[in-house]
Amino acid sequence: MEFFSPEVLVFIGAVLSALFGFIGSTIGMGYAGRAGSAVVAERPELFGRILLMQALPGSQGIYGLVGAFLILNFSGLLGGDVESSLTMAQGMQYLMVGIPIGFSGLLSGMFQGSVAANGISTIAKDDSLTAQAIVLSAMIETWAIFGILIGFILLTAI
Amino acid sequence: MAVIEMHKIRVYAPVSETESLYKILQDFGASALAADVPETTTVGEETDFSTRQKLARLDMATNFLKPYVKGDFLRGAFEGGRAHTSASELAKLASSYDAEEAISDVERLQAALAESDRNKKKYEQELRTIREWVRLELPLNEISETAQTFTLALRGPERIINKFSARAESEMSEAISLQNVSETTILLTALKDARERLEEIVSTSGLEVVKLPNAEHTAAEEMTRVEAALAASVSDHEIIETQITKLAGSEFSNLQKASDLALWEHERNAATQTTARTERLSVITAWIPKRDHASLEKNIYETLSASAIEVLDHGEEKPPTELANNSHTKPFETITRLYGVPAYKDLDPTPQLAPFFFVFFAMCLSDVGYGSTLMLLTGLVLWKYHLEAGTKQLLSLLFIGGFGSFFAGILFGGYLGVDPSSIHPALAKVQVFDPISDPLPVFYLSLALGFIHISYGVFLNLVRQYKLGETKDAILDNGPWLLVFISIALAVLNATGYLSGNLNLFLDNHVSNLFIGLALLLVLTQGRKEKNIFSKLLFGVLSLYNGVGYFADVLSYSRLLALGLATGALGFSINLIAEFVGGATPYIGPLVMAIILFLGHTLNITISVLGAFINSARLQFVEFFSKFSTDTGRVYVPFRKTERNVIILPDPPSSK
Repeated sequence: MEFFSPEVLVFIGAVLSALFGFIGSTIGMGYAGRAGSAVVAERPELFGRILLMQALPGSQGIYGLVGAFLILNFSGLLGGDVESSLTMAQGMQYLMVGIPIGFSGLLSGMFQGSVAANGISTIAKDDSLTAQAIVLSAMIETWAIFGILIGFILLTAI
Repeated sequence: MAVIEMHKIRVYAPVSETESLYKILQDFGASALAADVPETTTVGEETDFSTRQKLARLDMATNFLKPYVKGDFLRGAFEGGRAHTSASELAKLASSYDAEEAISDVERLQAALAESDRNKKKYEQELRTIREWVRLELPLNEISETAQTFTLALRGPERIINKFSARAESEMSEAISLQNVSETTILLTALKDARERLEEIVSTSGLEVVKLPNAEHTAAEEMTRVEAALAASVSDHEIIETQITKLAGSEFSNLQKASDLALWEHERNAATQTTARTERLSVITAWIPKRDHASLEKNIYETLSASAIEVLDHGEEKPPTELANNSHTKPFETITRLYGVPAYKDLDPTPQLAPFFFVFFAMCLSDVGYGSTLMLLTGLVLWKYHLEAGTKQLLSLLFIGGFGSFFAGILFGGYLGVDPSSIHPALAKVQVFDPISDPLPVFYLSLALGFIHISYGVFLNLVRQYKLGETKDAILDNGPWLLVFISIALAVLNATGYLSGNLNLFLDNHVSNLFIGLALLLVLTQGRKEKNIFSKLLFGVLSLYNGVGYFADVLSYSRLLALGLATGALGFSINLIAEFVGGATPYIGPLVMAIILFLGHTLNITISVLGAFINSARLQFVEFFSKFSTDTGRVYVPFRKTERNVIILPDPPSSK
């Protein structure tokens, strides 16, 4: 396989999708986890709700993983099909699919983590506001979902 | 299978029988006290200091003895080390057991242990000090001032001692005498006239001035004495700990029971003292499930000499929410309670979410090995231990989840990361999906499940609004969207060749018109609550954007594919690593392989179960509940005997 082959471009697209999603989730869950640790030390009975809030920014990593799998599957590379007949243009198209999935995952994961951390503080003050805290945090995730949506649409258009 | 209907009751009883009334309520355990203060009544202050003090002493004693109790580690983990007892045993203990003697013993041993610890630390410190002066042959009390001289014992690193000695001897050799006792200690004797200058040199040198014990012996003799004292102290410590262990063995369980009895007594006393009352009557207001009302009423009338109970109209006040579900769906209350119970009179989502949670959890874990392991472990704990209600529900839920994962594993080919065809060809034949080599069918299945879940959520909103008497809103808010969902489902089925006949013909020819018609229906119905025709139309058109929201919600279900994939991929990687490392390790290869497999799969099942639980719950909270749940309610907390240190079991048949 040459360095600038269509297959390499597909791989870069899959890596962009997964890697940035993972980074976004890592940072987001880190924000929420720090806030959660402080609250659990004071109110351990809230652990279940805090864990749920911390898990919310984990979705972006999951979408990134799904995106990477879809890219590899649509391009026919899943399972190591080295005899693929992809062109450079198609390789570039698969690479570009990874960009909206990856970057929307990165940024929305970070911001969702930040809102989830504030949501955890809200729950610590009044645990009857759990539902509202979840909804506010989940709103940001919409953009990561749109990222994977446009990725999927692009894949069906290649 | 709903939110339980509540009665707000007011009980009137003679002031002298208030505590008896609270005892009835506490034993009954199904009424939540309300903080109402009716007109013409007054509320007293809580002054139950004696029971509170007794409770504090019992808690101190149990907390002190707890680490010395020998017991089953797993029982401690799952039951919190609580003592098993029965109502009759507690009644007998309440009348016959005097905890004072045991508490006094605990206090005595606690003081003795603290004294022994103090002595041990003191002797250890003395030993550290003396050990460096052991070569000093003078009795330690002779290192003191004379009329002309004074002596300092100094310690520090060898390099600093040498530097200090050189400086002191060069600057004031005629006034001092230095004796090196060891590499790190030095004895300095000097004329009192030189004291000021010498102390300045010492303070800037970095050496520490040591205060030696005022003993009549040499350091070596003193060290022998302190070592003996330390050994005696350690021995004392061990003897005291043995006594504590013995006391814990004989009294801990009784103290636990006495502690809970004192807690219940204190709660009754505090409630009695703060009850609203007139000169002769106590007035207690409480919430009680309607189904328990008659039983409680009978209990009160039969026990008290005089009492009256009335049911109040709670008006706008929201009663607390308690859920009632059958044994199949009860474990799923864990998910509802994690989010917050629904508002009173609202729909209990537990039975609605149960089948979806079951399927989602099964898809996320989807492994025969992990599913059966989860079932086995949770089943064993549920069978062997008496768990708190919340823990029992959670483990039951995981047991059900394990059951689902077992079957999902067969359909998805999940066998601890091993290729099913390599285990037995029959396993490959029953496998329906292969998420690793062909993820698209699982992706579409995930989205289809999401579509059904969300459509069902909108349908539940229709039912909910209808039950609240909002029939028109129920139909016009949700009906058009449900028609859209049904049409989308039919269009997809038609496009994929699953429909035939007239319906197939109709959709082939009129699918565009159908969706244009539905869009018009949405525009006409969704903005109807606005004031003028322009706003109605504008909001109607804007409501079409909700379709994007629904679509985004459906996409969120792609996590079912991702989590299932992650479980299988991790399992496969663990097997690969174990095979590689085991093969490359001489002699103990199989053992290393077994260790890697055990640790790796234990880690994977832990991560995967957590991920499956959290993400299946999240799909309920964010995507599903948002379609029909509007508010969370107040949790119903009955006035009952809290089993903090004991587990009350039914009386054995022989004692009845």
